Amino acid sequence: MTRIKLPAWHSLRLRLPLIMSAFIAAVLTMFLWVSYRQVENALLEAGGARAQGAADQLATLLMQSAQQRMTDLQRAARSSAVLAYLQDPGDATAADARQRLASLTTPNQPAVELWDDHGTRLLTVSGPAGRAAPAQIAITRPPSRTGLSGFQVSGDAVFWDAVAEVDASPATEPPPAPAGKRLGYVVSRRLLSASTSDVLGRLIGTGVVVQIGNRTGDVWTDLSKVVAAPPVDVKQNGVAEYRTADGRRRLGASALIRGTPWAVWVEFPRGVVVAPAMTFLTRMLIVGVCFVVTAALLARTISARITTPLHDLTHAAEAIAAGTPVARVDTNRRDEIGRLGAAFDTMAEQVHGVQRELEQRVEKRVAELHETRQELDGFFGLSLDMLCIAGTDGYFKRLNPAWSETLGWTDDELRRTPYLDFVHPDDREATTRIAAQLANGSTVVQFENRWACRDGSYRWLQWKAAPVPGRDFIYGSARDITEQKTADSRIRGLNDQLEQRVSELHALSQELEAFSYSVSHDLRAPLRHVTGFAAILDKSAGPALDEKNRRHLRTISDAATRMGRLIDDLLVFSRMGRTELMLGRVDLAALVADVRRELAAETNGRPIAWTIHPLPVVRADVATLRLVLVNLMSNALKYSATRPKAEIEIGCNGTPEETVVFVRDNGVGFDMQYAHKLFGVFQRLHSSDEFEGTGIGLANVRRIVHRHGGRVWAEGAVGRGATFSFSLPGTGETS
Amino acid sequence: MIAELKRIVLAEDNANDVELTLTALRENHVVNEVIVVRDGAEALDYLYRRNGYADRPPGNPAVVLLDLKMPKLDGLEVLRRIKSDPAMRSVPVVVLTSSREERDLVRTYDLGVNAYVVKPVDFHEFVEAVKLLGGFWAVVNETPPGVPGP
Repeated sequence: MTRIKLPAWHSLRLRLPLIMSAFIAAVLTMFLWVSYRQVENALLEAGGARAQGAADQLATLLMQSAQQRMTDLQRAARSSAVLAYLQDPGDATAADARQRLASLTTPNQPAVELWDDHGTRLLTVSGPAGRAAPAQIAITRPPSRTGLSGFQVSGDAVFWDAVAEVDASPATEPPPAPAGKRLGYVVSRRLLSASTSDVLGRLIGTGVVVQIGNRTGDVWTDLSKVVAAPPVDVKQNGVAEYRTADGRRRLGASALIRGTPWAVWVEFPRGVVVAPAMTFLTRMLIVGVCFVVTAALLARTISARITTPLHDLTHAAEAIAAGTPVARVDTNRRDEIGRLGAAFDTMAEQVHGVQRELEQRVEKRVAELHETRQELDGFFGLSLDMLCIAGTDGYFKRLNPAWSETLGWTDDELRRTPYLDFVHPDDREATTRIAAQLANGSTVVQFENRWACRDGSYRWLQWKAAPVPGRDFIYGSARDITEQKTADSRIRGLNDQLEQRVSELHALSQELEAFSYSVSHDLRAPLRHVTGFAAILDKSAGPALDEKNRRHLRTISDAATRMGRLIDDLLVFSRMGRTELMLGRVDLAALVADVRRELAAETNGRPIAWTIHPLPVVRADVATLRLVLVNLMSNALKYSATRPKAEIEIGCNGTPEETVVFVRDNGVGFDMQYAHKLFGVFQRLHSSDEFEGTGIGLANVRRIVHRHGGRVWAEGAVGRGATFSFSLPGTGETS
Repeated sequence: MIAELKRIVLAEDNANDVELTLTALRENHVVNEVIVVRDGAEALDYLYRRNGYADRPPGNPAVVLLDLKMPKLDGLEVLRRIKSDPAMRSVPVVVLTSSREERDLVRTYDLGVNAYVVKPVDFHEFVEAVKLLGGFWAVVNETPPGVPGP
């Protein structure tokens, strides 16, 4: 468990106050900005109104002043003195007119002039003492129209004209009569003086700019010098704002001067107007900053209160993770954090308990594993089989001692050499293929290959191998099957031989069958011819022959007949070896009784004492077993025929493995040293003169009993009877 | 009556056996004409009036005495052909053989033989056997006869 190092900016303790302060600051800024804009707008409105008021006042003042001048001029024009002079120019009238016009003059202003209707200047009346008007503003052309003119400029001087018409109608003051006969004009040119500006400045306030000019915008003055027209519409009243060439914003108002072609413009620097808004903003900012700082401090305190227990919890958790036995967090609080701490303490105790239990279990498991491993190691070392762990890199990782014992290489040699080097060159390809299969995760694989021993020989190993899931290992178990392989191949050879023998035997048996078939046909035919023609000869020539020749003829016939019987017996014997046995339940007692009845005809009523013991039911082929009994019982009868009273006993001795049947007689018996000859084909212990027979009977008995899986033997002594016994496998049931 | 006696066909390759058989028949006073054929093919030629027997008088023999071991066609084959031909099936066939082989017995009975006689080595027994046969089929001028035991 690694301890998580928290970067400072991820800490809740720092982030909570920061986030709160940022939020409050943002809200405050927005609020301040909106407030500021509202204050500023209000101030601008008020400033505009103030400018408009000043402009209107100024316009009224100027209008009154201009109209007063015009009225004075018109009165003078209508005066009798002026009229008289114009109607009758002369010195006398001139003096009166001059006097009348002098009342119109003002110090420091140009003269008042009288012009006739033909454009001739008649009189020029200068003002009272004072500086004369500058020469460049002298009137040079006759007046063209009456009323007030627009401002004109010449050098630094700005001036305007007032012209009143003089007509011939009688003087009636006022109002002037309309359109009489025009006689001339009274003309007055006036300079705008700087003093006007001072007056206005005092009237409106400092920082104020007052400009007067023509509504057409061609001539404008600030009353001290000629200026450019304001960059706003001055053809109507109204408030306007503009930006000067150097970027300063100005607020102003224009007003038209009625009765004249003039207008007034009053403006302030905008800054002057909105200065209170800035003041407001500054104060509010201070308040806001105080508020934000307070909030930040408060938030920090709260976050510290929340995060300190969390820190403690973290430390405790880290301590648990690091394995410190018990780490407790005592928050001593009753809120959610207190509950969290308590829950944590409970958890920590449980974790500790579980941990302790786990440790105990792990210790136990480790001990068990150790024990298992020791067991496995023990088995690994003990195993007669060759056990190994091989890497998919082609090297053995671990081998048990059986390897060294079998192959003769040391453990080191086996592990340091790629194992494929030990494999017989002819088996390497197959082995590589199997190793690849295993590496690809095949399950258990069985195969065989040859391994080189240190002495240069090769051993056959039979393998069972499986990959270790998830690891680059293969578990292998090998067994030395060299002996088995050798034995196998020997057995295969023997089997082949055996099969060959069997087929040879089969062929032989077929040959034998063909032979015996041929014998039964072809060997018998000449004998038949011998006896046949001997009989014919006997019949035709018999009476002519003497006794000796007749006996010879009879001997020929008898010999042929006997040979025929021998052949028949031999064929029976041969057939006995080939006919199929039909095994079934055979009641021996019934069979013996049956045979006894059959043989009774041959006994010719001689005295015979039969002793038949209880006999079992056996499993045998009834036809051949019958032949056995016929042979043994007829033998007993035959060889006891010389006794005054024949005694024949038939019984059975059982053992768990076999049933033994015996036939005993009190006949001539035999010498035990020839016992082995008894059962041979055509082997006889007596001459056929003594006891007739071909000597095939017991050979048949032996062959039949052997084919049943039993044995046959005989006991006896010369003159003391004989006992013939045969056994059949299995326990017979008593009938 | 005698002139009307049917012929007896004896199929036997061995001259000695032919002579013995004929002797035995004679001793038993069987006077039917005996046609001796030396192999199976000749036996069939006679029965079907082919080749050398094309102009023999018509009519089936009273009995066919058949040896099993013969050159060309053996007795079993001749027996099979006779018993599988509806026109010949009624001709009695007696197998006269040296063989005591059981399988021969079984096969001839399977093929429908009328009698099976093992030629005994003792001539007198043989004469007795032939006597029985001759008395049964050759003298009685009627076919088909019943099947007597040997």
